[in-house]
Amino acid sequence: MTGASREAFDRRVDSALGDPVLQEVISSGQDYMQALQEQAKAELDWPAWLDAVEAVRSHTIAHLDFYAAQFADNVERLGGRVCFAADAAEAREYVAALVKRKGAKLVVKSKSMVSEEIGLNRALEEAGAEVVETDLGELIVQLAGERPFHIVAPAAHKSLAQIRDLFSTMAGEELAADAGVLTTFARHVLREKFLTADIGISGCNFGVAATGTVVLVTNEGNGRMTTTLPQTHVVVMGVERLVPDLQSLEPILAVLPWAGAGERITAYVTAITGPRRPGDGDGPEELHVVLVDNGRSSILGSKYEKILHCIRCGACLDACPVYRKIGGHAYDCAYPGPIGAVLSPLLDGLERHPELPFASSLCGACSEVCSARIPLADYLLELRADAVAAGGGSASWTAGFRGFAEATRRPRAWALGERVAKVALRPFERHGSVRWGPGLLGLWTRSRDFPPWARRSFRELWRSRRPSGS
Amino acid sequence: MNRAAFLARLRRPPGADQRGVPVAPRPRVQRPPLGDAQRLSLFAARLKALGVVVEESATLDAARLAVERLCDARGWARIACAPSLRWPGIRDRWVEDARDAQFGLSAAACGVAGTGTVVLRHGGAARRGYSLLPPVTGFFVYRPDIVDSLGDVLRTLAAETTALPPCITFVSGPSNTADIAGVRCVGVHGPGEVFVWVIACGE
Amino acid sequence: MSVRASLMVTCLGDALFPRVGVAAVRVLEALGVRVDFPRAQTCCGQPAFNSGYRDDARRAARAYLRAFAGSEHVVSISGSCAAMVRDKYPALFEGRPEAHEARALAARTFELSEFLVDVLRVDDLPVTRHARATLHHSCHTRRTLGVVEQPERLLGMVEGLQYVPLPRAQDCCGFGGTFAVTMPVISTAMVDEKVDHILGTGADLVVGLDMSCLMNIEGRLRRRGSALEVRHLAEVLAQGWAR
Repeated sequence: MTGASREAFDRRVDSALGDPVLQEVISSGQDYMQALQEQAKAELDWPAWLDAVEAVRSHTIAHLDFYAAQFADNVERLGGRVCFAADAAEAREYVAALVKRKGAKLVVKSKSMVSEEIGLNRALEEAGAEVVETDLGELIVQLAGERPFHIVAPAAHKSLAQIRDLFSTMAGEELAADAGVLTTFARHVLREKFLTADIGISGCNFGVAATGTVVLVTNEGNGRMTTTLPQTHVVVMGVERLVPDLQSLEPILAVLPWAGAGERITAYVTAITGPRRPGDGDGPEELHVVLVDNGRSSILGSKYEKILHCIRCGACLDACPVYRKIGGHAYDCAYPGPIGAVLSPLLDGLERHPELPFASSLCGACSEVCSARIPLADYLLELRADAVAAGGGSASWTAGFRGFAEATRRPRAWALGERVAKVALRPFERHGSVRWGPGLLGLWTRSRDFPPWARRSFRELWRSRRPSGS
Repeated sequence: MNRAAFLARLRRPPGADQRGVPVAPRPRVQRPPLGDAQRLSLFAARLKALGVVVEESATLDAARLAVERLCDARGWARIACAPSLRWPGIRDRWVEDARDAQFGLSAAACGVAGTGTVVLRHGGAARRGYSLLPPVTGFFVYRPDIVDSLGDVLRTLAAETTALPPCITFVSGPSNTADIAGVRCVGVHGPGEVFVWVIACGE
Repeated sequence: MSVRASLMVTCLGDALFPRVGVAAVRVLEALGVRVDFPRAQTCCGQPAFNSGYRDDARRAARAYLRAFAGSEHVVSISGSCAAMVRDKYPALFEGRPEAHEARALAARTFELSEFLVDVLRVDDLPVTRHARATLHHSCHTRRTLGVVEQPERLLGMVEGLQYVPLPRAQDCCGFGGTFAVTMPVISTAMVDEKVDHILGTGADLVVGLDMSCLMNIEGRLRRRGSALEVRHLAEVLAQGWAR
C-alpha cells in the first residue's frame, strides 16, 4: 500500500481533514440522518422489514438470469428497446449512437449512479450533445466538475456560498445566497431544459420483472420531468436492480426512503410501464432500457454476491466513522463510503483501488445499519485477504506476520520477544510514556503517547504468584 | 452483447442450465388494519405533516366549489386537468396544456393513509403533466378509495389482469429537495404546493 | 461446585497492561470463580486476520485452540479478542479438522462484563468508587458480541459512581488494530472526536472493556495534555472492592 495510488489517497484525505467547513458539514449531516433513522426504527418493526428486504433481494439475485430475461421480454412487449451491455463501453456506445441517430442536441438526466460508473456524460458530449444533470445535487457537482460526494446527497459537501457561486456563474449574474432563491433559479433554468431536451436519461431504482416496469424513487420531480417531457426516454440501470413483481416492492419502499432520506416516503414514486401508448396525452414516444453488467455477473455466485443486494440507500455512509472524517471524494470512485469501498474494487479491480479495503477501522457500523443486511465489514476483510493472496502485501508485513505466526505457537519464544521489545522500548520512555519512537511505533506516536512496557508481563506475574503454574 | 450471452453470464453458477420458474417470496410484515375513521385521520395527518392542505368535502360538487374558491382567491385563470374531470362552473379557465397552467387538478385512483400518498394512474387523457408542471397541484380522492398502506396498493395492482397503465405516480407532498446546503425547499421541479380534497361519498 | 474460568489476557494485556489481568483475576476470584491461566496462550491472531494474512492468523488461532482446550469458560479482558474467537474462528476453520474445536471454543468464550452478568448472574457488587464516569463501548464488543447493557449494569452497581453516557457512543475510537498505523491520519481524526466527546461529558474517569481502544484514547488524551483517568472495567471493580 505504497506508491502513487496511496499518495493520491493520502492527499485526498488530507484535503478533507484540512477543511473545517467540510468536516462540520459531514458530521452534522450524519447526525441529522442518524436521528431520523432512529425515528424510523421506533416507528416500524425495522428488523422484520429488513428480513423482508433481504428475502426479496436474495431471491432476485439467486434467479437473476430469469428475472432479467422476464424484465427484458416485458419491456420489449410493451414497445421498449433493450440493450444488453456487457461492459461500460457497450452501454456508452449504445446511448451515444442513439444520440447521434436522433441528432440530439440536449440530453437531460435524472440521477443515475450507473451513468457515473460507466462515464456516460463524457461519451454523450463527445457525440455532440449538451448533457444537463437535473437533480440539484448532481447539477451542483456537474457545475463544479466533481464526482458525487454521497450516493443519496451528491452535493452534501457544498456550502450555500459555494452553490451560490456556481449558480451565479451559470446565471451570468450574482444570485443571493439563499436556498429558496437558488432553488427557484434552478427551477426556471431546468424547466427550459426539460421542455427543449431531445432525450431524457434516468436511472432505475428498481425494475419490476413481472410487468417490465421501471420504478423511480425521487423527491425533486426531476425524475418525472425527465421521463415525461423528452420524446425519448433512456433508462440506464445495473442488471441487478430488479425485483420479481410489484408486491416485492413493498418492503423496499418501506425501508429505502427512511434509510436514504429519513422520511416515510419520497415525494414521488414513479412506475413507468413502457413508452407512451396511442391516445396518451403525454409521455415519451420511445423507451430504451440499457441493462448494464460491467462486472456484476462475475460477482454472482462469488463470496461477495450479497453486495448485489444493495438498494443504494446510503445508510452505510451516514453511519461510517471513516466517511465522517474523509468524506466521499477521498474514495475517488462512483460509489463512495463503505458500499464503495467494497463495490468499487469488485467492479473496477482491486489494483485500481488498493487502499479502499484498508481504509476502515472494521468497526462494523456499516454492516449494522445496512438495509439489505450486506456484511460490508466482513467483505472488507475478504478483500484484504484477496489482496494478500494476490501478492499485494508488502514484504515487511509478510515477513512480520510469518514471524508472528511462528511465535504464537511457541510461548517461550513469544515471552522472549516481549522481553526484547521491553528492552528496545525503554530508551524511548520518558515520564511513564513514549512520545516518540521509530518505525511503526513512530506512526503511532506522531499523534498519540504510547504506554510504557510493563516491568513484568502478566505471564511473569502469574508464575510468581502460583509457582506450580496451571 | 447479444441477449443470450448476456443472460447466460447471469446464471448461477454461470453457464448452468436455466431452471424452472422461480416462486417469489412473499414476506409480509403484519400491521393491524385501521378502522375507517382511523384511516381517514391518519391520511389527513400524514398529508398535513408533508405540508399538504387537506380538506374534506361531502360531495363532488362541494369539492368543485372548494376548487373554485381557491382559484378565485389566488386569481388563477388557467387550470389544467383531464376533460372528464372538468365542470361548467369555471369553464373559461380550463386549459389543455399543463405547461403554462397555474394549477393542475387530477383524480386520484386511491389514497394511502400510512404515508399520505395519492396514487395517480396516467395514460389517455389523464396526463402526467397535470400533477407535475404547474406550480400548484390538487387531487380529488374519494374516501372509500383510501387504503392503509402502499403494500395494499401494490397487491391490488399486481392482481390486475390487464397491463398496467404506462405510468403510475405515487405523490406524497410537494416536490422538494435538501440538496442546497441541507435546507429543505419545495417546488424544485414539480409543484411546491399540494391540495387534497377528500370526497366523502363515491360517485 | 464452583465455576471455572481461564483468563484470556491477550497479547496487549500481557505485555502492556498486566494490571488489568490481575484486576480481572481478583474480581473473578472474589466472585468465587476458580481462575486459571493457560500459559500457552499468546495472541488470538486478529492482527494477521484483519490485515488479510489468513494463513498466519489460522496458525495463531490453532495455537489458541490448543492453549484453551481444557477450559470450562474462557474470559477475555478484550471484547475484540473475544469477538475474534467467537465470530471469526468458526469460519477460519470451516471444513478443517479443527472446525468442531473452533466452534466449541467460540461457544465458551466471553468478554469479562458479559461473563459477569450473563453467566455469573451478578446483580450486586460490594464495590465503591466515587467518580463521574463515562463508558467507551468498543465496537466489536458492542456489535459483534452484542454486549451493550452489561457494562452499564455493572457500573450501575458501583456505589458512589455517577454514570454519564457518552455522546455518539456508537462511533469507533479509530484504533482498528493495524489501521491505527496504516491509516494514522484518519485514525487520529477519529480518536480526536472521541476525546472531544469524552471531555465534553465532564467525566473524571473513562471506563472501557478493551485495552486496545483505551490505549488509543488515553494516548490521545495525554498528547492533548489531559490527565483524565482511563481504566478498564476490571480495574474499577477490583480497586473499589470492599475488603
